[in-house]
Amino acid sequence: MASIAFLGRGGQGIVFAATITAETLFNLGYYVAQLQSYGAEVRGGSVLAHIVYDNKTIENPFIEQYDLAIVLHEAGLKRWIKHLEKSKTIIVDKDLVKTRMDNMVTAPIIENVAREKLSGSENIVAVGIAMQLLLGREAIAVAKSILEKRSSPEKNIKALELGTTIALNLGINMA
Amino acid sequence: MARRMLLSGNEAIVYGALDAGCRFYAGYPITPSSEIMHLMAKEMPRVGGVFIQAEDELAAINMVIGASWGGLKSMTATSGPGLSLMQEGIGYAVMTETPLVIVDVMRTGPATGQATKPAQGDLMQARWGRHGDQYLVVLAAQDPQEAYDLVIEAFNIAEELRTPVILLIDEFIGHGREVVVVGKDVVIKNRRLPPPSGEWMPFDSEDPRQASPMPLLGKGYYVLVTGSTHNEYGYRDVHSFETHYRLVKRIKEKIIGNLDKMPKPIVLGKPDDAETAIVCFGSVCRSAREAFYKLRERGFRMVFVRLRTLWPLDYDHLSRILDNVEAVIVPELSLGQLIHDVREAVDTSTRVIGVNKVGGGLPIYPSEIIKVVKEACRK
Repeated sequence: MASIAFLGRGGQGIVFAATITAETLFNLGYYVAQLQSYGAEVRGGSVLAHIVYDNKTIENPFIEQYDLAIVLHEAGLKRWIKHLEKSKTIIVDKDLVKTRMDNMVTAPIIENVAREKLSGSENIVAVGIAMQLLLGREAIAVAKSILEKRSSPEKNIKALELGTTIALNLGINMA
Repeated sequence: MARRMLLSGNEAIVYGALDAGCRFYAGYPITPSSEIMHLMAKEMPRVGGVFIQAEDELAAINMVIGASWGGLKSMTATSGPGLSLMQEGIGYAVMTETPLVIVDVMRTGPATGQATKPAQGDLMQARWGRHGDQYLVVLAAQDPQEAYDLVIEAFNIAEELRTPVILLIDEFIGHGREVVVVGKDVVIKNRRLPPPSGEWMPFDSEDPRQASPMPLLGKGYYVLVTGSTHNEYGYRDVHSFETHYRLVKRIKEKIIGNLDKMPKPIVLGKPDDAETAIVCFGSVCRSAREAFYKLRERGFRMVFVRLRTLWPLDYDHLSRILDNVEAVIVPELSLGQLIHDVREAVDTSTRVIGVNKVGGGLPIYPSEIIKVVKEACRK
């Protein structure tokens, strides 16, 4: 069983990132459980969405640590700090997340999103990072086919590719 | 044909209801149940059914009652505050023996509470929320697959026993997405209609476990439906002891006497050998089951009981399972409601210990249950 968590601030599309990831994993043939926690506000507040996947039925999706967590904003981090402390690898945006822990790796996510004019698609960049690190090109191809059927496909596919580039530059081997 | 889909519990409920033959939905949006309404609005016209967004929950439940008397399998969905508003209508449905299904996607309460956060605090409201002597059926699912399966069961029980059935899930299940197999070969039960000729009574039955045949409005039957005390033909009788006692007792017997028709509890481990038990319902059972397996691996003598029918509750069966244990752990996403049932099922020497956590969107983790079991076993 493996797990991925996306954390951030309301409005960053954290739940959508988990949704695309869960659909990608489902289309790859995995059993998947996706859970999320967010507030009533449309913008702001802490958001966590995580996915557990396995080759067999998921017995219990209520986990206390993640194999990979990607944090796009400090707001998403504080509430789940105990989970993150126990997690294996955490990738945080180098600008929007100030906290640092031993298991953290910084990545220039928002900086690259701004440079490539992909504002609003940082969540899909995070999907690209997660899929590249955990499952490689096959998962990226499946994620692309899912994004092609959603709104703003060109922008989101560029964001997905940006995520794979960032992941490769991190020099982490998780597969 | 069976197919594998990635669905939220709310979505699974819609597909289950439609597979069960539901053809009328009325509801009012409320987090975390609204996706049921959204998908019903999309899917119901495709199967030739009727979808109505009501002006409020009071209207919704009464529309569902009316549609059921019109002959359609009918349902609504809501969350705790909406269920509170529906109680008067649900009581009317109990008294008039109207088959219908209500899905409650539980969130924290009381009052508005935390709309987006899961809880299990509606158990007592679902079971006892109405005034008077009233009995209905309450089921609980643990994940999206079981939400699909049990909503079909809920319709079958509602139609067979002419009763409202409440299906409880929580926000974790409603919004959580998992792989669900839909379109399986399932048994679908339909309500018993009056015979074409001969004597029949719409509100009585020689066998108290069997529902009376149900005449439908607009189909040529003479139909009297009232929430006031009524005799076997539906005529009001608001004076006689005999009529009232016979009516409410029959409705009670119809529910309590049909325990064998209700979804059975899932029992893991050997009750005869167990020192400690875990009893739970709903999503929390998934953490509890992991805790059970881990504890058993470490040598703890455990039994695990997951209740799928919360009312009528088979106290005798539960008592037999818990007969030998010294402690029962009851994890709940509330301050403790099921724990009262467990206390009723065991003798006073058995320790009954709640693991209670509610609010903030936090589940009860296996580690928290394991800790309590270990402490209980040290004493």
